[in-house]
Amino acid sequence: MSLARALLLASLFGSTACASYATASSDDRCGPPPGVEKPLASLGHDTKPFEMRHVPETAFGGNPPAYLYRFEREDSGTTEALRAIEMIKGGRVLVVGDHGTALVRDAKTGWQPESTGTTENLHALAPTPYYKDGQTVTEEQRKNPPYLAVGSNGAAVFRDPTGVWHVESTGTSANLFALLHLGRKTLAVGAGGVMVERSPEGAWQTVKTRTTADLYALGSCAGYLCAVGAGGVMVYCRSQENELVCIPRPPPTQATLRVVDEAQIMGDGVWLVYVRSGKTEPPSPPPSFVPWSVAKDVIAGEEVRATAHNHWSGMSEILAVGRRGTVWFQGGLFSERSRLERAKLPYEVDFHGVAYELVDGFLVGDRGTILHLAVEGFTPTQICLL
Amino acid sequence: MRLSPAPLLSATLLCVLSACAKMPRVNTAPDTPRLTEPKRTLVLGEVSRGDTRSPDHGPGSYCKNGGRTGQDLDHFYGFEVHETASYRFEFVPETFQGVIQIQQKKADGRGHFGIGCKGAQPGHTATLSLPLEPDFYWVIVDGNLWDEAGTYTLRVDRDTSKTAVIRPEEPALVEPLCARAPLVRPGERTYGAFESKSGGARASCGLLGGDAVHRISLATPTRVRLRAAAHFQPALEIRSGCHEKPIVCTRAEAGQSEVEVTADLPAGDHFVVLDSTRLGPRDPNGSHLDEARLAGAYVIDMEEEAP
Repeated sequence: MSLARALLLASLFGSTACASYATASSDDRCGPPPGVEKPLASLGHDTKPFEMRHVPETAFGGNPPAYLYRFEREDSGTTEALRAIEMIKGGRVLVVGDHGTALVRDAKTGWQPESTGTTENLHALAPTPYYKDGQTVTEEQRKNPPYLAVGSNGAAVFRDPTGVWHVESTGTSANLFALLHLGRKTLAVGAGGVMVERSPEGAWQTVKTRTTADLYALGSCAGYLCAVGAGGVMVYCRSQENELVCIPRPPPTQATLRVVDEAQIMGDGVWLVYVRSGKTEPPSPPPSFVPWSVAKDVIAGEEVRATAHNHWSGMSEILAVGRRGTVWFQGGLFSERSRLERAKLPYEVDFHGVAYELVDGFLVGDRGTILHLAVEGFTPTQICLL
Repeated sequence: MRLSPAPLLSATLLCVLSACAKMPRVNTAPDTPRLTEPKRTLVLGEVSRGDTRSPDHGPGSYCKNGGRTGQDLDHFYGFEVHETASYRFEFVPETFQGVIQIQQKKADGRGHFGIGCKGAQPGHTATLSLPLEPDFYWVIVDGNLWDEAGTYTLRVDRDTSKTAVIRPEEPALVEPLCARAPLVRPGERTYGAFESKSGGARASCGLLGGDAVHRISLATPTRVRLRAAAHFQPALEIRSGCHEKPIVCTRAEAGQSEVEVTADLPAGDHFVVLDSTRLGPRDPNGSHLDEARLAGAYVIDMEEEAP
């Protein structure tokens, strides 16, 4: 159970939530202490995995041990550049890349190709579950949602829950670089400031962004939906009478921005953090972002291409990936002591996508590269509702 | 000598219980089915009188200090607003501790939510001023505490006071905005963040007033075209002096977020005021005072045109 979920449950039921590292003496009310979480089994393709010791930040302080982080190559069966990956814990791991490549991981047989029905380069991938009010979501539905991928020349392909891909028409010929699923609608952005919106039924329409700069990422920015891209462009969108209205903001940097990760924006040599306005009463003004001083030295000359946010309590850290085997770990997300560490993996490859869930991560990149990150020795935080 | 508090507490408890037993319970029986539409009408400028000891069994307020589930000692009014303005509600619960709550329909039509609430002691006046757009609002007169009910008066008027949320510009508030107004230049995009401010810079075709004032500086007479886009439905005005009459003012059409003005301007400095034509979105989970304030980003693009 994630920290956020535990706190939500606690607030809903009026209970006091406590969390602690499980020990043999834990109170019975907390139930049996969880055991060591085991990562996905190795496919056995890499005889010399890269290993490092790393301390993930914890939500509750303390002195957690350093865990073994093992990066292990897996044969993808392709040399195409792999651009995006999505992983659902206990469920599917899916990758897309150039020339319509799609791969799904099988625990026994490894990475298996799927036919997407397109030869366009697929740059972005997102699960797009949509549930109607009152609908009961089964475990099977959770593990096997539909997916959407977008890419060059306005390409879009939809993978239904049975695993069949369907080509869709987005109405644009611009390259699409990023996706964001919002529960009901799904948005894509791309070259020339294009933004398109998909309904649950698969109908696409254009959203005006009022910029012509290339947009590379989409995300949530302190109450607004935001798109960022070339030359530091930032566009904030918000719903007005069921229509999305997007307004550009002054660029906080001239650098290209490639990632939006909750209250942070990353790109070429920059790592921006959200600055609170100090205003306590609504309405909140549009949020501002400034360079994060902590990141200055470890981000100079680098490009952050993608990030994944591990929300699990006790493993709450961001894994960012960049060029030439560079990765960053950002911990301390719940405290003022947020820190950023850079590591150079022994793979001279540019990474384009990353996924990170509890003790498993995947990094994908050029030349069909797939790395499985397995964190060994981690025991999940025990949550007690008193 | 120290006295044990026990006898005193017991006496107090007995006394309280005894008093409670004699207190008239106005509405102890389960309530009759609730009204889903108001059966009373609140008319602008007219006094309404009533006695909640004969309740309507309406939806009840949900901002009162105390009560119990199912107790709806309320009077249930509908109030039709035809023109956007600030409205002042005056409520006098003559014989009981009362409360009024103004409720607005949710955007999805599923129920109502509170946008203003004010209580008063018996014989005192509760005054509540709210900016309202054309709509049909619910006004609920209720007891502020358990079993409170009685006679009251209620009236609503346009609020044209100096404290109304929707009110004319105040020169003292606008002057500093003009003094530090950023330049809008042809061919350059101007970025801004609007925040509504009562008494602030208000376009003559706008509504809320705010802090968005820009300046155009022209060396020669020029035809200029300004386009603005905002996270709200904007109005755009050009004036020659900070407090001068408008040269041009245009408001975005309903549901639109863009507006454009064109004007032939003489050489010199001119001021551009960006305003909202609508109230800000209210919190659908609210119960107390929500003045529908607004914040959002905007951009202004300026072009010079051949006359």
